[in-house]
Amino acid sequence: MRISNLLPDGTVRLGTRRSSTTVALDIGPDAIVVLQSSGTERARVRRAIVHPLPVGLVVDGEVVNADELAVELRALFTEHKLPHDVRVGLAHPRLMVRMVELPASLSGNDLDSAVRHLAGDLLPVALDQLVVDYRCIGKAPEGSGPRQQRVLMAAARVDGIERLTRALAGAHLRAERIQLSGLAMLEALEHPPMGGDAILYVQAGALTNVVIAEGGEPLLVRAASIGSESIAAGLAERTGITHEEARGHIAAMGVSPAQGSSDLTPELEEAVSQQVREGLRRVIAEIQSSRGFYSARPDARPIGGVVLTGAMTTWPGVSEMLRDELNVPVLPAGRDRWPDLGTVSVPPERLDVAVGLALASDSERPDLRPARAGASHRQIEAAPNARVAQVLSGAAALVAVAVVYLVIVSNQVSSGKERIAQIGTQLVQTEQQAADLKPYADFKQATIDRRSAVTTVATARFNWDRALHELSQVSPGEVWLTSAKGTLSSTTAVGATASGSTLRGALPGPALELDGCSKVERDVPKYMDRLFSMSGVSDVGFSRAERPEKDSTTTTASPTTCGGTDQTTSFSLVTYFKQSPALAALNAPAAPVVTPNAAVAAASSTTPPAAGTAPANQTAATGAGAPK
Amino acid sequence: MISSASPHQRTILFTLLGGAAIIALLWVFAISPKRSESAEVRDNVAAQEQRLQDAHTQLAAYETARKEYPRQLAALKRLDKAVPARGEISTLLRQLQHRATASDSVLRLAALKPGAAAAAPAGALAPTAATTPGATPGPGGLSTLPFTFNYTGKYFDLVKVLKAARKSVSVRASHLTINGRLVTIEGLTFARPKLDNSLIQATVSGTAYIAAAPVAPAPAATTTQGGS
Repeated sequence: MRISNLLPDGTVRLGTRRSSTTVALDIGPDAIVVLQSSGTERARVRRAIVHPLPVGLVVDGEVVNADELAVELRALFTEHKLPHDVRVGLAHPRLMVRMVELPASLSGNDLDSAVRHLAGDLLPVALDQLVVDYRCIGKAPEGSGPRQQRVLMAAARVDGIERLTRALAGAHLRAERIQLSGLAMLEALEHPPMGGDAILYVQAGALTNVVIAEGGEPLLVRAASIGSESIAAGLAERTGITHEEARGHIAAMGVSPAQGSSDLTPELEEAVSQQVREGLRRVIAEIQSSRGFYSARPDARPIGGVVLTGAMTTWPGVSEMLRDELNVPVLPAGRDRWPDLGTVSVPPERLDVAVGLALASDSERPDLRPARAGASHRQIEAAPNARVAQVLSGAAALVAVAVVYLVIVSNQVSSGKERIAQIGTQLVQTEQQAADLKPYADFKQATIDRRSAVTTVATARFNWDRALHELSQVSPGEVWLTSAKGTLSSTTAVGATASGSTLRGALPGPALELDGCSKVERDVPKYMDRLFSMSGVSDVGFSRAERPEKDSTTTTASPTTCGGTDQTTSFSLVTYFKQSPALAALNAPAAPVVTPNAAVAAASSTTPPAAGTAPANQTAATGAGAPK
Repeated sequence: MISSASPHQRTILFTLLGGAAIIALLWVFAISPKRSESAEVRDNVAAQEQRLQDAHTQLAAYETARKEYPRQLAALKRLDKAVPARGEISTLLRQLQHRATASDSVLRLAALKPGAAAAAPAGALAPTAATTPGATPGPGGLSTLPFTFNYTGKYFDLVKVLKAARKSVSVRASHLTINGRLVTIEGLTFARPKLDNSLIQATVSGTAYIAAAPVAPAPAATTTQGGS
């Protein structure tokens, strides 16, 4: 059975404790009941859904197949687009709920520790295998001893809780809390004043939840495995029908079906009736057992009435049988706070636990979620202004981070300034040391410069001794020099005389200006050719070659000077040497470059043509070589 | 919107606004100026560290120079033989004649004339020995001392004299050999006055070089001068 919209128009006030959407889950052996409510000041029921479960996923209220249950939950929540924060009801026979009395002076962590150790004493399970929580439900009646407080303690095994939470996690659900179904039922129903008597609450559904409350405070909470599911299982086993068919038959027939209103065979009807009666007797036995347990308390009050609810109470004849067997006045289940359920065919008895979960306050206990999640949740709930505190803390943390950053930057500035001062000190010391040692560097540099200068000058010098030596080697036998002049450049003055020949200025490098005589005129060109064989000679300039005319009296080089005969010829030559770049650098600025031939032309223009150049066949070789 | 919010929501909103305002004020008036100052300090630190590193490098070079000082001093003494601090041309000529073994020839100093030195190249050091009469600034921080001497003797003895002048300081494969004064022959002229006589008369213009000794470092301030 599935109710897609239990409350179609339903803006229903369920309480003022919730400020956001709440989804309550009552997971029973036969079905999952979902109730979605929302609202800030006024709670509204948006949706109520009953989702049947296959047999075997939840047995006796405990999750057995978490994976399959997760699949069912996921399909349910995906289909209806339900929020994933849920409250879950929990009830099964292995759940231990005890009302204990502890010293009223205990509170806080001391009370927590006392309850946990008490649970360990009552259950043969290690403490770390238990999920324990409790609710203080008031002071115990005054006795002879110290003042006591009543504590309703609930404990469940971790493995069972973990299967439930694993199923929820598999469906991507987050459990806001896991509450006892019996207490949720108590929360959903009203508590009529009974003049000091206790009220017995019985929810006979797939399981049987029994709660005995005094003034609305639960003093006994029990869950028995007997219920509609065990009855259906027994009927299916007895008659051979399916479990689902058995569920339908027992819900339709109950204890005393109307004659002729059923299509079942008389045998099946009899089996159904007998199975339901047997089941009810076991339910009543559980109830009586709980009454007896409660009545054993020294401060127990008489049971003034019973509130019957649960799916089984809707079966024909079940309520009457329970009333007769329990021998206690039956009180109507107070659901005045509930919304108007309208024409919904599903009895409201099926929604007691879900509505109770929705109505419960945020701080409702006991909460049987695993310790870590529960503790953090309780921490949040402990402070009503937790969110405000969180925001304040966040803002303070941001400001703190900004201040810390400011401090870090300030420290960087300070350390940087210290570093600058430190470097400054080191710099002064280093520069002082450098200043002390600088004369050594200057001395070294001066020495290097001195050596470089000496090397440069020495390298650039012209090799005069080689030139003169080779000059003495190249003259033919009938040629001799009367004078010679060597200069590094045309501007060089030797002694008090500058260069006397214009031909000398034709090339800028070193040159030898030669004046000499030849006994045979044709030896002069021969001499010029041999001058080229000297090292470094680049050119030989010819200035003049004269042989004295017989009648002439105006010769520039007389035979007397040459000391020869009339055939003796005097000549003037200039031998140019190549100029090395180093020497050119030393002699800079260099003289303008003029080719020797051009210079010869210039010289010829200043020399009488007739006397300037004698024909080669008119020369005579009569002289000797260089001066010996 | 704010009026419809719950007190808690208003508190949260005001807390967030207040926190943002505080952080903004911190940023504008404290953090941002500090960040600028920090960046400036960082740059200054980098510059100072670079200066310090340069100073250390320079100091290391100076230390090396100090360790090399004895070697440099010896080198300078050798150079001082070629480039002394004083002229002493006459002594130079006697040395040349002697070195050339030109015993029958005569070398006589004719003149010391300033202003005939080679031009100093660009970047040359300032002259350090210009106090000698006739000396002028020359190449490489040297001072030039032009001179002229007259020679009377055999032709090949003149060649020997010139060779001795050249060989006094020679460079071969970047190796500087110093045996005497550095002399440059600028020019020469010679003639045979009598045809029946093999002796020649020559006039040779040369340049000798002088230089002042560098200033010796204080710890070794005894002397750096060799004999000149």
